[in-house]
Amino acid sequence: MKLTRIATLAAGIAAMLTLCITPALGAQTDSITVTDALKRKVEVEAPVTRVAAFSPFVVDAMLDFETKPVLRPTLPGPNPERWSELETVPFDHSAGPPLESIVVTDPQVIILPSMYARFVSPLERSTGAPVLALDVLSLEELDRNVRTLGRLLGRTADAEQWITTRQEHLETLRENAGDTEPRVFAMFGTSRAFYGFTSNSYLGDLINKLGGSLVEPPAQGSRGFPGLAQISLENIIAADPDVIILVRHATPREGEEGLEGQPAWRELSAVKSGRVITLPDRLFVTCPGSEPTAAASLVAEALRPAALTAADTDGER
Amino acid sequence: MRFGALACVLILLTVGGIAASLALGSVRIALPDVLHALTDAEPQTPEAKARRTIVYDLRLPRALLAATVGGALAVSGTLLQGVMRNPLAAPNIVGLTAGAGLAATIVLALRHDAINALPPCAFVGAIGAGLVVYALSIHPTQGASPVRMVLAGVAVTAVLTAITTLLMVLNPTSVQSVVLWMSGTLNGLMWRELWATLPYIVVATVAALALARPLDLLQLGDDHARSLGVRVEPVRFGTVALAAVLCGAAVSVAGMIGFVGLVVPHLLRFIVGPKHLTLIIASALGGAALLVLADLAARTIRGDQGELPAGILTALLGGPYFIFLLHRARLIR
Repeated sequence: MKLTRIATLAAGIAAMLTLCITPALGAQTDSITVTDALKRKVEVEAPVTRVAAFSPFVVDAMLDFETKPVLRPTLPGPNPERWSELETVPFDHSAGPPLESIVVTDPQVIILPSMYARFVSPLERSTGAPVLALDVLSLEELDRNVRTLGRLLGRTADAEQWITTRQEHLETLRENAGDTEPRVFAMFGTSRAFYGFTSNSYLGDLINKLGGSLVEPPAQGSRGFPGLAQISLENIIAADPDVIILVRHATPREGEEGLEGQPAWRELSAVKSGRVITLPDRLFVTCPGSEPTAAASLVAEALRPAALTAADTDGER
Repeated sequence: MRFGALACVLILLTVGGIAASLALGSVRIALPDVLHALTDAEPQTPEAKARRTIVYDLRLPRALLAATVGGALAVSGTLLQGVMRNPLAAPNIVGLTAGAGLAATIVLALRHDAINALPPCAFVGAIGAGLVVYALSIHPTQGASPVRMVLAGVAVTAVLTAITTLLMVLNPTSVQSVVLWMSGTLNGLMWRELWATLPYIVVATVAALALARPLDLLQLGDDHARSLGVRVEPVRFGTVALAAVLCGAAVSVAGMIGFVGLVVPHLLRFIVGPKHLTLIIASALGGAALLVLADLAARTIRGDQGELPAGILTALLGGPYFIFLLHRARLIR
């Protein structure tokens, strides 16, 4: 009898506590609606703790916030050292996402570049988690997306700090830039098929913001990859830029041999003056790739080799 | 008796393949947990929920779709081989899959993220290509002839493939999506896709069975068939239309899975004979078994390094078999 009373009392207290706590818990969650790169309004219950991140900048930003994504992408070439302890799955265009491996990580949200638009529906249907397509075609968009990420993670202060640090780093690089404004042609591709970065791309915007003048490719960017436009060697010869930035989607040997074999290439001003700079594709191609701050340092160095010296101390976040 | 034994073997292979598909995958799940995931509709723990999703929502519909798509492609090939009186006729050789491929490429070139529009457009593309092939093969006085249908099919395939390649060159950013679709993969297909295609495939397969007898008579030649009461032109048109519907429904969800429609009916004709009633049933079962096993291999062959498109495996099996056929006919000596 006594035990029954105690049990009833305990149940009553538990019920009251539940009633008191539930509104408080409810107040901590927030439904955030984000318009993503595919122009979809995606609703996410925030804060989230389990993020499957297939956009490199999201992985880096999360690690900077001292949180960890449940999944990360695998980039071509060597991946950042600090990514090594994170789980990864083979996810590319060859056969689509490994849905089973993603399901077991039980993500609350999946973030990927819009080039994986084809896989959004099966990912959402299999995991039950919303999928956010986030692209970065400018520095402002990078900040905006990191701010969104901060809201999703409940880390708005960390996000603002991250943005401030990045902007200060960029400002330092800009201050160290000289008065000259080199004309820069930025290319992406293999030795036989090239795309030019437009100013509507992360790298193009970075070049312009760091005191360079991006030579726009004659063609417009395409719908699938808005920051890239198909070009030919003739376009580069006609532009004859001061600096050529190469981001290769091939092994370095293959790319160099293919270009250096062209007599017209050797006549370019940038080639004669030794201002053809190869940048790692993992930093720039997935809009942006990993380590945006390091990427900015590399571009600054490509534009003016002296610019990096004063600013490289915090270049590797 | 021979057909009965073969049917049992093929059913066992299909069912065994589906069972293996439930048990195997990139995530290891113990057999008791697989059974539990199938029967427990409302799992309580997160782990059980994940297992339920993987087994019931990913593996099961995918395996069933592999069986459905494989069966549809094989029956489509059987119908085309019968109506064209040519054992080398198949959906991918007479323009049906090329029509679907062109439609898919147009969709992706116009809008690379218009994924939901792919299946209906591919379906329409396959049927459209079938109608064009049929129209081109009609002679003003003699109607459509099998030889002209094969030649028209080859020509239409060449033209559609060239246009598809041109669109890919002009829209390089759509290449990756188009290539994946053309490789033929069942990855990401779930119940929605199964329910979307199953009605077309079931109805068209049943209708194909109704055409079995006229198709048998067509093998005697058009004049003989007519004298035996077969309305040759309607039967021929109806057969091509059914083949196009079957192929269109299959490739609209799974992409361009090749050689199933060629190899399966050809191989089974040696075993069950040329009668179309048994051949259509055997082909449906054989196509189902082949694609279920090919998809299982595609999912598991690379371990945790990802999967291969099933269409590549069927082509790897089908290509050598094609060469074997040529060798057997003493054509490559």
